[in-house]
Order: sequence, then structure tokens, then C-alpha cells
Amino acid sequence: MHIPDGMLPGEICAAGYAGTAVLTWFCIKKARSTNEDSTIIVSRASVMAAAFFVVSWVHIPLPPVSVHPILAGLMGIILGWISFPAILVGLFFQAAMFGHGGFTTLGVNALSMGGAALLAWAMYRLLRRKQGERAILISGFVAGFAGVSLAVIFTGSVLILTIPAYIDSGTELSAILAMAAAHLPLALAEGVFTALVARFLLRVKPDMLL
Amino acid sequence: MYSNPVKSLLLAAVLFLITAPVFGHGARVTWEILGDSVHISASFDDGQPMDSAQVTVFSGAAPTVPYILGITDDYGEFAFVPDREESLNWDVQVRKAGHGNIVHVSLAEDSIADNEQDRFTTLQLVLMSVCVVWGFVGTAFFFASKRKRYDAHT
Repeated sequence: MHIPDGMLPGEICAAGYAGTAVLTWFCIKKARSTNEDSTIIVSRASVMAAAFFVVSWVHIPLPPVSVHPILAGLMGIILGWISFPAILVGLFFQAAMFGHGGFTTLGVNALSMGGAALLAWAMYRLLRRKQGERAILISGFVAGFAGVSLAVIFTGSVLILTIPAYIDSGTELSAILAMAAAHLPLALAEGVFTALVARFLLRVKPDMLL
Repeated sequence: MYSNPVKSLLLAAVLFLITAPVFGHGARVTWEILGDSVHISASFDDGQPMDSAQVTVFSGAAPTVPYILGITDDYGEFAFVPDREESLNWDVQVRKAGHGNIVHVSLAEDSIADNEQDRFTTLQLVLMSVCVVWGFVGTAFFFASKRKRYDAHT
């Protein structure tokens, strides 16, 4: 899911950084406009960024590729607007410590995963208008499923649109589609996981769900 | 435990950190000169070979024009014979589904064939991750305690 250095043209990397800068500014501005205590926001963002950083370690072999959890949906429903900056920080450390992703592609990776988190959160809020555990389970599942699916769609689209002319585009396209298809079980699993976490938080600490 | 979900999440993160298999998803590409040819070996950093990955070789004389195109075999390996008169410096890109890496191959005699990319041991990875997670969690505790102090004063 992380696009490494050297895979994207320079102008796409620059556009990714520009988009990420604008979206980070916008998200922080929106988060500050809420009435929530900034110390709570930062505390939550720190813990969730740690979780996001660590899950990239988990290797789930789904031939012909391997996948790892993303937690974009969970980040979205717990952090809301601040999920985007938190994912950006997590991605930076993943690139710096393990070489997952790259520094030139950090902006694009942040847009795909952070953007997926924001959209998953929006879907969750739409579905959560109804009260009760059933509604939270459904909205949590949709958020978790959408978090992975949208990140895969964004990343796959960027990769497909930027396949270099000198390589066999058919082979690369097939490999990208295989990678995307391999994420479907992960999306389902994260949907279930996010739904269960959302229900748990609803029972014990409902104010953690945004 | 139920009274503090942040602690629960923190505990889950720590347990996860301890039990999670240390695998990555980056790509590792190494090269070796054998006679006249350069042998490339590509794998994901969990050791799985990058089979059927597309290999593009660029000459140092024309670094934007592909010199050789090819595909790795089932073992993630590929070999090519560089033209030493063309250049002594070559770049090799290995790519599969947007994952891969680029390595610089130097044919100069005085170059040390130490092309092994830095690969951390499991212990190093665990320690590095613990440090980063500690930084995140420490930040969380810092702000949480700051709020408690504020609440106590008001």
C-alpha cells in the first residue's frame, strides 16, 4: 500500500506534497474550530499514530502479494479531522524507520491513506445518525471496509495512471489489479474489527467516537 | 480496564508490538558481478522473491533512457551484460505493482561490491519501534497529565 521512492514522476510527488500541505492545514483548522480540548485531541492522535505505525509490521500473505492492516477507518472514527495529520506522522516514521513508502512519495501516500480515513469517517457519521448498537456496528463496519478499499483505490489509481511508458503496461496493470483484489479480505476483516472496536467504545467511552 | 479505553488501546498496542511478526513490505534489491554479467536479486523484505517483476536498466551515460528491459524469474533474479564502454555506472529499477526499488551498480574496479542494503535485525526493528511508539505514547501521556493538572486547578 505504500508507494516507495522512484515509482512516481516528480510532478506527481510535488502535487502530492502540495495537496497534503493544504489538507493538513485544513484538517488542523477544522479540528481547532471544534470545542474539544486540544490536549485530548493530541493525546488521542499520539496513541492512534502509534497504532498506525506499528500495524504496518503485520504481514498477511495473500498470494500473489502480501498485505498489512491500515486502520484508516478506525483512525477516522476516533480522530475525525485530525486523522489525516496523524496518518501523515505515522507514514513519515514508517518511511524513516523501515523504508515502508518513501520520502518523495510521502505526500501521495498521505493523500491516499489520510483521504481514505476522512471519507470513511464521513460515511460513518452519515450512517451513525440512527442510535443503538446495530447502527454503530454497521457504521463501524462500513468505515473499516471503506478505509481499506478507498486507500487501495486511490493508490491503485495513482499507480495505473503513472505507469512508465518504457515498461510493459499490461503486466504492471495485472500486478496492480492483483494487489488490489488481495486487499478485499483485509477490507472485510478491518470492517469487522472496526465495528467491534466502535461498539466497545460506545459501551465504555462513547465520547471517544467522533 | 473498562474505565480507561486509552489504557486499553495502549495495552493492545504493546501486546501487538510484542507478538506481531516482524515483516515489512518494502523491496530489497541486491546485485553481484559474476564475470561479465551483473546478477540482480529482488525480494520483498520478508524474504519472498519478487518474481515476474519488471526490470529496467539505465546506463549512466543516458540515465533517462532504458537500456535493457526484462523480467525477474521465479526466484526474483535477473542478469544482464553491461557494455563497459558505454558506462561504468548503471541504475537498475525493479518494479512490481508499484512496489520495488532502484539500485546503483558500479563496475569500477575500485568499487567495493558491498551492495547489501542495510537490513535491520529483528531486535533492531523492535527497539526502533519501541522508541517511536514510546515517543507517541509519551506525547499522549504528557498532554493527558497536563489536562489532569488543569482540571485539578479549576
